[in-house]
Amino acid sequence: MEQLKSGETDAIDELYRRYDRKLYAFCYNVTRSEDSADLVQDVFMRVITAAHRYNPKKASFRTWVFRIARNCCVDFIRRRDKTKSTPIGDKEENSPGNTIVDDAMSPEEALIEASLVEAVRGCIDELENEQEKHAIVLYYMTGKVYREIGEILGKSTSMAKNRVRSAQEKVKRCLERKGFDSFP
Amino acid sequence: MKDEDFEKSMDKWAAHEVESASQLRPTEEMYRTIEARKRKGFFPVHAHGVLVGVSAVCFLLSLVVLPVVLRRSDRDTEPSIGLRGGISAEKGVIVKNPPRRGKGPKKGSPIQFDQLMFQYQKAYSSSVYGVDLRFPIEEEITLSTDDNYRLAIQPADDRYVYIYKLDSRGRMDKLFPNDVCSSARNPLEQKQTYHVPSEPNWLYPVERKGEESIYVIASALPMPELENLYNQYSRTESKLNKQESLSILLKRIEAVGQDSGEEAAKWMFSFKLL
Repeated sequence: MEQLKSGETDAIDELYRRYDRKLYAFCYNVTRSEDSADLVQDVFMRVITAAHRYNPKKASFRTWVFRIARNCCVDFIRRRDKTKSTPIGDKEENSPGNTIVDDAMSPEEALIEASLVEAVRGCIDELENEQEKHAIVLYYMTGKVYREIGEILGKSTSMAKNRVRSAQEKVKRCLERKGFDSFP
Repeated sequence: MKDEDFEKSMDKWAAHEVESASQLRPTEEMYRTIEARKRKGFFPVHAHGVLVGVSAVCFLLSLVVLPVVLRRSDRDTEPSIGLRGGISAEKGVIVKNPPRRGKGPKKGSPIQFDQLMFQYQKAYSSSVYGVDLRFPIEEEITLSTDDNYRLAIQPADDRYVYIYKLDSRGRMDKLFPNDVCSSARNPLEQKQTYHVPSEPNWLYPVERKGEESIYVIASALPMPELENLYNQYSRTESKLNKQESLSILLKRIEAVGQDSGEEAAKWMFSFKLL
């Protein structure tokens, strides 16, 4: 981060290496938009322009980046809702919406993983409370630290924990409805 | 479902989402922004006032000098075709407007292509996107100077193909046939895929605002008249005559396929510049 502040261009390459996929996965799961790549680029641009405002004493860098990402996603959803509604599941082919098959997997394993991923996505989309949705996606994308999730959402740690737990219960019940009684 | 199984399922989902996410790259603008910060930080604080003064004088001078310099240089003769190597397409082409029933080309059309696609790469993405020119597209495509584009063509029969680009400053360039872009020659052979420019090159927008248009004309026979009109346009030096030549050329392109005796067809695609 200090390198970024002092104008070292290598710093942004390193940031991309560490965060681009996680941010993309977060934004895509929160917005279900094919513009998630543009959204992530916007996040990085904001990180660059606001680098001098980052205070490591207040929050970890990961928390700060994901807070910017969450704000970008919320703004995007608001803008989108004002103009038109994009149906959930209207996915682009290179987005995580399409399951990438690992060559090392057998076709059966790949099929099972694909169906599990689709089921979880469907269950997350069903979460009506946006904060719960953001909380559960952040929980699994950022390392399961309630304090960080609270800071990203602008809530207390206990509130973040409640949101995650509530979302987990709903997703679990949803997966069971879809026939996933155990880990496949 | 047991808690342990649920956690495993969610971890599996999260790992999949991250692994399958698009790999992005910083844009040129980002590098420029960071480097600008470095330059800014190079000067000590007490020198900032002097710098502001010098910058202001330079700015005022540029207001007087630049228009003169620009008027003298004939910017219309600058090359407007930019070629460079592209990023390898790892996941195939993502078509923005896949064929829809009832919205395809007329079956009776004498000119058919098995593939006629405008392909582009965003600077930050490893994906290649495609716009099938044979089908309508509702989405607006915007490209920056950091992005790349090309055309992928596969005629259903041997065809004479001519491709032109009209940039936002009203300059027309012939992309095909053109040795700079491709060594292929007309007629293009049926069932062969050609890229314009040829692999591994891509074109990129040289302007930052406005719109660029690509015209693809295909014919069963050579079109010497079209070639002559373009040659006439490209040789003309006077600005006024050039505009007139361009207007005639565009009218001819517009008329392609309208004469029932002419076994030819045209496609046009425009994208916005950022």
